[in-house]
Amino acid sequence: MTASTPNPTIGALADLDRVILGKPQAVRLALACLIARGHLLIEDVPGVGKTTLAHALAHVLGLAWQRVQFTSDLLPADIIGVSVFDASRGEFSFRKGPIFTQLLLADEVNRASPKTQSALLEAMEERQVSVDVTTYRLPDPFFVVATQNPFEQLGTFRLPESQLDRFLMRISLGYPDAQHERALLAEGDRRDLLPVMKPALSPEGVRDLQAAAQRVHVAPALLEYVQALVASTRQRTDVLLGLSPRAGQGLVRAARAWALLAGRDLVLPEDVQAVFGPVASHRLERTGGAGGADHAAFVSGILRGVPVPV
Amino acid sequence: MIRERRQSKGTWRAQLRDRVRSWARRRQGEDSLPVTLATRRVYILPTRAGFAFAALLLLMLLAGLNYANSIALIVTFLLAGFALIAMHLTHRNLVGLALRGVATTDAFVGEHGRLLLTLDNTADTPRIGIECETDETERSPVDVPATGSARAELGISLARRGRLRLDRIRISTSFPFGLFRAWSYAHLPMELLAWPAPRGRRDPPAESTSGGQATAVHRAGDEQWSSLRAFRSGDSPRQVAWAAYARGRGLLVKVYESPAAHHRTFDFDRVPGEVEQRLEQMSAWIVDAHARGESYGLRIGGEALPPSSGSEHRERCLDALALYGDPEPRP
Amino acid sequence: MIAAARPHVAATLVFAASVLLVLFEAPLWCTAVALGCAAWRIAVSVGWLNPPRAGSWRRLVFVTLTVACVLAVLANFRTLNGLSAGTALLVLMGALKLLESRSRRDDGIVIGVALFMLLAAVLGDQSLLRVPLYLLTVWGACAAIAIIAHPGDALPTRAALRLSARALAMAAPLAAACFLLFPRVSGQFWALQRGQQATTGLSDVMAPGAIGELASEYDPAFRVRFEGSPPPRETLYFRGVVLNSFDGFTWRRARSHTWNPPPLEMLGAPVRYRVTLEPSYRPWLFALDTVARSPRRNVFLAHDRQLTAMDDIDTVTSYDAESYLRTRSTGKLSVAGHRYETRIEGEGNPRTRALALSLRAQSGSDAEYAQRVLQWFQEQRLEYTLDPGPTSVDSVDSTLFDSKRGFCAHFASAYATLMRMADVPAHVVTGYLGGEWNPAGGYLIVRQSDAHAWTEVWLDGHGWTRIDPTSVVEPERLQRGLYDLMPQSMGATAQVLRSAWISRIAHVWDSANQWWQERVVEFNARAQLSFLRNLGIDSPGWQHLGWGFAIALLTWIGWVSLTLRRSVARQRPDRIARAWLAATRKLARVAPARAADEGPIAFARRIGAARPDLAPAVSDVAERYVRLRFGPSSSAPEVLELERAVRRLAA
Repeated sequence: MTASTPNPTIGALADLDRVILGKPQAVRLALACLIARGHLLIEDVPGVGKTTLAHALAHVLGLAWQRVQFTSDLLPADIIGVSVFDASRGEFSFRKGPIFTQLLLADEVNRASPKTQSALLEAMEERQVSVDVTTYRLPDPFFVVATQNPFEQLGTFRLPESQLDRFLMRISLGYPDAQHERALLAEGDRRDLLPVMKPALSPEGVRDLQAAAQRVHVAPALLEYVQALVASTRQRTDVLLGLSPRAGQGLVRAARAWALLAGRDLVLPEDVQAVFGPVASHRLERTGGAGGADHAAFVSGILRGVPVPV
Repeated sequence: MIRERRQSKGTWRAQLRDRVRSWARRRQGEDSLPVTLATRRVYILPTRAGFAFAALLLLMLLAGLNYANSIALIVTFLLAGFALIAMHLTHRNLVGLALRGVATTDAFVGEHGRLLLTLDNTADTPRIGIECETDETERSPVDVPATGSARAELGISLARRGRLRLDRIRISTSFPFGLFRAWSYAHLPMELLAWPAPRGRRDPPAESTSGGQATAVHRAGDEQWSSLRAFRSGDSPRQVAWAAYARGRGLLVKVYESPAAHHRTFDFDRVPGEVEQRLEQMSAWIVDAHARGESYGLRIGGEALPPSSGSEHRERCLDALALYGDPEPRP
Repeated sequence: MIAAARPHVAATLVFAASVLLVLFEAPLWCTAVALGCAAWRIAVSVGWLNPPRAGSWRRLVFVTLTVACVLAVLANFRTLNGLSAGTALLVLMGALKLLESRSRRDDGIVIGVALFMLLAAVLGDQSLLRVPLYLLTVWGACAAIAIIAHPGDALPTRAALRLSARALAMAAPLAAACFLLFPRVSGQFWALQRGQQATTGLSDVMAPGAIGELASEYDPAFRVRFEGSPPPRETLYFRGVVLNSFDGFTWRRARSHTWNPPPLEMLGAPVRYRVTLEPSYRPWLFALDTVARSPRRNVFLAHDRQLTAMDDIDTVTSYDAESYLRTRSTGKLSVAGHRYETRIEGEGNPRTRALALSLRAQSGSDAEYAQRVLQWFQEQRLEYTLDPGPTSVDSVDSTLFDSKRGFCAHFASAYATLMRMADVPAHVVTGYLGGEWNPAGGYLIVRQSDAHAWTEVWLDGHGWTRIDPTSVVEPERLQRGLYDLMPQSMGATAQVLRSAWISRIAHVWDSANQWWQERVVEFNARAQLSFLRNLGIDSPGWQHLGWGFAIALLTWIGWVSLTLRRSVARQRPDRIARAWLAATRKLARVAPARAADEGPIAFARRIGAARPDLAPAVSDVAERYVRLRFGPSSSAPEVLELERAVRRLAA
């Protein structure tokens, strides 16, 4: 049940858990999302450690990272970069924006104008940037961790539903429990720990992990299970549009990464169930204006309705 | 705003149909989900083609008997047995089917609202050509796979603004030979809203920044900068966080928490014209603002929706327009 | 291909098939028109041709065509009544419907017309050979009904064919029960008018070469099933037409005169048998010499014991007859009768007349004269041949004195002439002699090639006595068929069919046909009652039929309901799944049962938390199961290991 090589993810997870107190599930999901080569959307109120999580991820994985605070006056060029006229050489040169990094933290992404949002989302999708006629490849690995505040409405532009599926997962952190909150209060900013920690991984290590996740075995019985889950969302009357085939692929990818994190070389129904909520909930448009209310109950309702294969 | 049902032309057929329906209603009572179409609630009668087929068989029988023609009689009996099997197959195609879920989607007047039905088949053979309809919709056939489910979508054309109530779904089938039609009723309360059609050429009210009570939602003041970001060429020196620079953290720029997003509030009382026209105008504004991704609020009747964006907000606003003048709350 | 083409094509194909079924009922031009319309319809449906543009002229063209068709049928048949005219009208109306059909309802009407044409075809021909065609058409029609019941291409053709085949197969037992038990009415309320067909077989005119013409026809004339063993072969004279008027060249049947024959005594035991007559489009019925009474209604037994039906025989007709091989009439022939039976028109055949007078003068009685003439025939060494060459106007003279060759008709004619010229009453009888025994079916097939002519002579104290002059010329003819005597006379078909092994197959096929004819086609109210009697009901009546019918119907409905009951799906789990399910069942005793959506590891953890003592064993089972079910490969030993681990759980 353990991968043949020593699992490099254990160290990474331990380090992350030291920085992000009391959120092992969210931390694992975030890491699984990156190993599955997916982008992550963290939706939560401010102050619960969204930025810390992103920062810690970058540090532990040994990735170069950039943070962009999204505001309503942020322009696409502010992220992607801009062509400036170089007087000395008499020609335009492209000055790369903050997106040219391995991990981009897009903070409060719902504050930017739709135009800016879509520039970011496009780059996320393509993993490259086109300016004028030149295409610039983004580094590999390349991750976007975006945050948005679900309760803030005034003057914000929530990401359009149709574009939400560019994110492999949407997670929320939630408030820490009493014990961890006390630890937080006692020990101050956990980010201060980061500089003293050695990165557990490197970009090469991340790429290896991504490749290893691809090799995790997915049995036909499990594919049937995923198929049944996806199909069940298409038949529900409380869902306007069921999961797309792309969502199904994402589900398998995320489940593979999750199994890898658990040290397994095969995917179990439990892995699919663990990642189903984060992968599916933001892609399901619900009927009757039942909007964002109570994702968890909704998702577990779907899971309950589909028997696991025996 | 309960809309009366589509008036059937006062023919005896329509009257008979209404009689049968109300009889079935009294017999079965109100249903609750899931509704399994048990034998006692499945009715079956020959279709028009079925009656024609029966007449043909009768003629063949008479000819066979009169001319003592054995082959004609055999063919007649074979086809009669075939028709009985057809009846059985049609009945079987419906009995045991379960209606698991019912949902409605709202739409603008002049468009089609949708009624979504989830049908469950526990049998190991598929059920083909299951047709669902309500008093307001046409039949739309759907196939339910073996031990699976299928979703039927019914378009309900919306002619008048407001609440549309439906209380009966008719599920029927004439598969496989179209000689018989088996049907069953599910009596469920359903409701959907017809939003006022987006019509009107008036310009929307001017944009305002941060309106009066809306600031309550807003959490940070303009004076407070909330975060720092790296300096980029073109940033004003006045925004540079010199203190941070002094601490050796590099050239950082203060980012202000800004409400600067523009938003409008559509106020029913400020739109001139007749009630329906005003509602349509507001509907058009909402649709436009949503399409541009703008933030907007709504004030109508005693209700005020704070400015926001997104499809949920849009629906909430349109619902408020649809229910204007309706004393009952949205359930 | 246009999406909604299939319903049109299916209905049109069924229509075309049923047009072909009535190919022989409707005139050829009707068939051609209908098939043309069908081809056009398919071409339009599939998109090879453009559909006609809508417009008011279309309606006009349609009405004109309808009127034209009715007029054409009227011109062809001079009536709209009758099977042929009705069928032709049906074919044309169906074709016109194809021209204007667009909707599903139109397709349904086309299929209805096709079923009507099937009815017409069935009324026209009930032979076993065509039954598969009828069944195929019914199958096609049912499949087409299924296809047009679904808009567009919803139901694949294969599925429609399969469905309707299944439904028809399930309907077959009911059809059989109905066929046996559904009460029949006897007698027709409306008679069917059939079109004129070419006649076959014996006629009521016999020129010298007449019978020889039939020799090459291998078609059966009728079949005979005897009650008990068949009589000896040399007595199988099936009497047909009695020819009693001679003009020196041709024998005819004169209808104008009747006279009361002296009473006839029947001697010995009767022979009972059932004759199944092929349609000859002539009114003659055939019976063994001598028939006792008219076998059925609307058949007359004439004074000379010839059976004549009121109408031409235009369908396969069966009748039960009773004959006596020996008879006697001790009375005297009336004067009128004597005059008619000795009359010869004209003064032809002078040499024959001279012979008759001289031979009569040498004989003491009519009986001795008859014997002496036979002897003379034998002495003359006449040759029995199918091809005696042409005869002169004095046909008897040229047969007896010039060519000395002849076929049975020549000899019968000559003998009867010799009798009449000597004032001995005599006439020629045509019919069939012998036949082919079908061992497969146990009945006699009498073919056109078995046609024969012989004479009957009135001998006082004996009455009409059968004398066959051919029997002295060629005695073998009594024992063997014509083809055995003269193989060269066989047609090509007969040659093939009489070859050894084919003839065995032909016999089986013929007996199947005969069975079909006797047991199915002629199954009527009487046969129904005798069927009930065979079931053990002593005095069967309508009420028994009704009860039987009701029981059969209820049984069938019960059977159908059981067969068609939907079973709730249950996929049979494989070994791995069975082992895991067994484990979960066992563990359900120590903790809440596994929920359908609970994964194996989660379940094992839950059990382990509830019963730490079981944790290692449960986790072992779960891990083995997971490896087999979700791992890359599974081997039989591993499955065994899992099963063993599950069994150990119980301990």
